[in-house]
Amino acid sequence: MISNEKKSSLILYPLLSLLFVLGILFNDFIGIAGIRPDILLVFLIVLALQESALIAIIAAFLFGLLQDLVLPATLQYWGLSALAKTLLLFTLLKLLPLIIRLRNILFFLSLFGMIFIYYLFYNLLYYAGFINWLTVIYRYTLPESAYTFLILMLVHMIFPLREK
Amino acid sequence: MLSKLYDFIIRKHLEILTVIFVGVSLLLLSRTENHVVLVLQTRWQDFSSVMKKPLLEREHKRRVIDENKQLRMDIFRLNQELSQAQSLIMENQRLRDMLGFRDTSEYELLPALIVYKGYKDGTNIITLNKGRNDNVRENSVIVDKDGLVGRVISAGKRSSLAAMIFEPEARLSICINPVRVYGILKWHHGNTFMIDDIPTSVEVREGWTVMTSGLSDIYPANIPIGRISKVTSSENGFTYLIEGEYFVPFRNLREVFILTHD
Repeated sequence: MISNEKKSSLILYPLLSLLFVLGILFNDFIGIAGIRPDILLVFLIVLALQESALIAIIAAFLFGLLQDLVLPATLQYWGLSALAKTLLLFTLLKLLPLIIRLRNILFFLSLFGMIFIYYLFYNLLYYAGFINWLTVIYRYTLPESAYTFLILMLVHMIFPLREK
Repeated sequence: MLSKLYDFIIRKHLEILTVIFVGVSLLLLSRTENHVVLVLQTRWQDFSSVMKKPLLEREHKRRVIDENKQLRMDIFRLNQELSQAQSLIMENQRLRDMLGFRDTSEYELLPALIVYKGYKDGTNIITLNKGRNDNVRENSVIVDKDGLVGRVISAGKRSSLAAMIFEPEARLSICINPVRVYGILKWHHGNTFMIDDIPTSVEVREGWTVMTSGLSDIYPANIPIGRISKVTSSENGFTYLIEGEYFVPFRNLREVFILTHD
């Protein structure tokens, strides 16, 4: 007999994978004023909350590389997604014992904080020398964090995020 | 000793993996314009362009209808200008014949649609829906009606990756009109560029245009690039600090032309 948890995972992961593939293929079409969500990030956060740390960190690196490969940005940033996602997952996994103790809104705020830090790190490196840091925060980091967090909340509404 | 090492690896596997992954990522970041990556990215774009085609075509149709309205209005205005231009063309042709000039253009303009503008806003890498099947090659020059856009960096069968000229490392050999003085253009910020190697012994004014010089192996001569907006003297006093704006609105680009050899 398959447990309810496993049944839920059997739907959740293919669904997130499908969203990731669609997100890659139609990346240009889901953008609002140049702001696009990072569905892979949602996938990885769910993975960190539900699966073992080893799987989550390997997935962060490998999928990060895949994302860099199929979503070409400026060529000098090949590897940036992998770097940022590995560091985010490592931090998230280390803080997880604290985060999962938080209740309701604080739990989600901490997840939003992680997404925000990820985008801040990524965008500051990505736009270094192009745009000043304040613009990077209000024009890209905040809206992108909010959009990605919204997708995470939608996933949570269907498949509640839960502790390992 | 070995068991201690084994225990250490088991205990700290997350940290060890993170260090390895971060190291690999940094190594990749330090290698720019990796050829293998370029080829893989082009192949992926080749594949994904087939999937995106229906949506792109729908969006393209909508834009074409809007443009069509605007163009009808423009046609009326342009017809008036055309009659004036025709007389000038005839005069020009007569003068060229007298001087023994020939039409030296060896390029054809191939219209191409930008099917992907990069993962992040402001990226200088774009994907075009034309590839080797349409005679597009590496270093094919890309222009739009306003001027120079960039060059193809990798051509797949049905699509190609192109780099626009606004990036910190980009350097262009240019010529300032009407004085025909040559220099090197660098991207500055946003839609602006900078030229800092023109000697102050030459007169340069705001409003003058900047074009490709034809001295580069990639870009042919006389493709418009931008207009000078500010001319100041550098600290040493020997050269100008010239700022200007690109003619091409890179962020709003949707369609471009690729210069293909006959």
